[in-house]
Amino acid sequence: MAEQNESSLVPGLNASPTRRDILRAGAAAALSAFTPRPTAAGHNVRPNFLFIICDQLHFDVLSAYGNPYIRTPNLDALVRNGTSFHQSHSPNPVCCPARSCLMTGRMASETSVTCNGLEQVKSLGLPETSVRWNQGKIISSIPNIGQWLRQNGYETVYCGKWHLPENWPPNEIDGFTVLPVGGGEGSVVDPCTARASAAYLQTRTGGDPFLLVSSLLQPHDICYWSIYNDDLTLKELPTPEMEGLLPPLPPNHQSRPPAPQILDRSIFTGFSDAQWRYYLYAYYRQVEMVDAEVGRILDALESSPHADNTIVVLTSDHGEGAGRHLHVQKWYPYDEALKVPLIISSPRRIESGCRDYHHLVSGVDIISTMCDYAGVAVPPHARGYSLRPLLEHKNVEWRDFIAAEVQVVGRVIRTAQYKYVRYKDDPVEQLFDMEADPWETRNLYADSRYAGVITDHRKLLDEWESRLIVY
Amino acid sequence: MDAAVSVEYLDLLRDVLQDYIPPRGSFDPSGHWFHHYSLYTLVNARKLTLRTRRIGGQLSIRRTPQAAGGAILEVKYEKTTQFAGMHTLVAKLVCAGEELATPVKWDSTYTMAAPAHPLKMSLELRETGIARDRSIFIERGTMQKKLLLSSPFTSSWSLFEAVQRLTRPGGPALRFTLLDAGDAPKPNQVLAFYQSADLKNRWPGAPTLRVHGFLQIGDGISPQVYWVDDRGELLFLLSGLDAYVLDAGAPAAPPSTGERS
Repeated sequence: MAEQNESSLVPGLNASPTRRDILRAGAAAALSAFTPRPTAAGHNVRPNFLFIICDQLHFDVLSAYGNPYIRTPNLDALVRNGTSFHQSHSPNPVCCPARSCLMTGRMASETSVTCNGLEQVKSLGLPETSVRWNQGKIISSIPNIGQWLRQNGYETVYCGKWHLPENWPPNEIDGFTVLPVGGGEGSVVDPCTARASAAYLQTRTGGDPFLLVSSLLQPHDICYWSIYNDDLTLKELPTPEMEGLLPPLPPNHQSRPPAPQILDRSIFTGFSDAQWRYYLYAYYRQVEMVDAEVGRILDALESSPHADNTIVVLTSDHGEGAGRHLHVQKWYPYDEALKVPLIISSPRRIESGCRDYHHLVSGVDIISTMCDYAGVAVPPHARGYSLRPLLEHKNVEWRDFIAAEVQVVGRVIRTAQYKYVRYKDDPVEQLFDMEADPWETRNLYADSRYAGVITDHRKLLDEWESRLIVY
Repeated sequence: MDAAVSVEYLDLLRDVLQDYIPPRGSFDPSGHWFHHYSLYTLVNARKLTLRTRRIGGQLSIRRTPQAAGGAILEVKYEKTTQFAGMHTLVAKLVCAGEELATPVKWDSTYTMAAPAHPLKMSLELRETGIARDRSIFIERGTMQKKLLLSSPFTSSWSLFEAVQRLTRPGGPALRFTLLDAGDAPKPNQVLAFYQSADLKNRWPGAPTLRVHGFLQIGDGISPQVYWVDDRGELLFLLSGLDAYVLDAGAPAAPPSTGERS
């Protein structure tokens, strides 16, 4: 019987890793390859996959990663039992595009899902013709992970938020059998997703390996506190005593480095400082709500016959503005929206308690990783890398940069030290030294000392874009 | 204290409360009662939910007092789905008679909507829980879990009952761990009297109704206010995410099933 002591769930005050910690972790990883242990059923059993997707879960919100204003015992347990990637990025920090990337391993400009809808395109001041609109659907020539694994012998099941384009899936999605949880917001839908997922994990009797996607809605609904701020954000704190519970504003709260026009139009000015802090408080509580649902799903897996042979992957479609750069929601190339948790766990295949602080990874890597473990070729033109060599500490040559797309016309190149941002037809570019300025407060693009760096990153972006098969 | 009310969430109910008839007659929070709540989601309030009165689900709770003290709560929670069927949670809790109505044992059955293409799986999940001292033993399907809590605890369902017996104002704040939906511990909860409010004249057509709010904050919940009337009956539970509204014309209470042996 699993035993959980409440006192052990109190978040630790883990300091952020120092550069020395990072180097030490990298060196240790290079020196000791992890040898997977055989599963109870033997070496050659294909693993199941439990793919948990949260919505708007920023990287920094896990108490295991040192956030003292939040308590996430279930996500923390996953961190303890698996490997966490600390340089994990959304391929496109916007809901529908990100999900199209997670489902296919392709970039959004390839899947055709480059925005949440044409209204969004218009709101950016872009003509509708700037996107080739396929009604919000992934183009049919690109298989999703359900189709791909199903044709390779997997039972593929989807439960929860879909948003490609329907928020909630109809009775059937190509490649998946849908466990229906209907729609809804707030706190009503995630418990259904968690319990339906738990029921599947605990009671399924099929013999095939499975892929279960459990797609949770929260902490997405913090979105509405800015959209409907007149209605939903309190004018005053409920009690003066709550002041002591509110997280501080982030150090880059008011920072507005020179930016492309679309980004400059995106700041949110509807909150006082106290309301910003209450917004953060409320966001953290919504993160804790989804943490509880993740716990329900993981409890079910742990007590099921599939515990030993299931690889758990947890990530988010994108992060959350969280008051950084006066941002709410997503849509930005800044780390508040771009960085997401990525945790992979499996008791016999993946080392527990391991943190990868330096490899640049992306949501498009998840499909390639699953295919690698399943012994299945990756779908054609998949853009990701398998993370398996990293998870097993194999000596492997890794990519020098990751790329992301943002808001139809934005592009990001992230190298080990720098982040370069370019928006189509906008003369203002951005370059941040992510080692010296991790809060992205100083845009170096106009500093002549970085001209060479900018040239190099422009070239990386141009070459990367030229390889895409754009819809 | 009659403060200038700053809880805008009450005003979000204006459409729902347009023809609201508050319950009348005597009400004994410690006696027999049956409540039926409609569940609304607030986050899309302006676009969808309250304007069109889209209901996210419904909750009914029956309280049966026990001769030896405490009560049995029979709970039915239903969530509508867009395409097929309902998700239903039916639970029965045996609760202690103290201020938190702490559950001492409970069982529940969760029934999910069936997929269009059947899978080889059960659509039901049963759960039982027993609390002894600060230890809680939970079984759900094949899962067994023991929780060791360092503080008093209660369940989210119990609070629908307990809040009706709280003193206002001036009563002490209750501090406890919330056992959310019977299995997820959420510590550091504080429940205390917040303020009273008159709904009349807050908006055209508002009911003549004085309500008294108890604010709950804590880990893992969006801050929420329980609003009871002068008799202590819980009318609304509001957070920044969703709203439970006691049905004015609640369906007749089904007969009690009594305590299961």
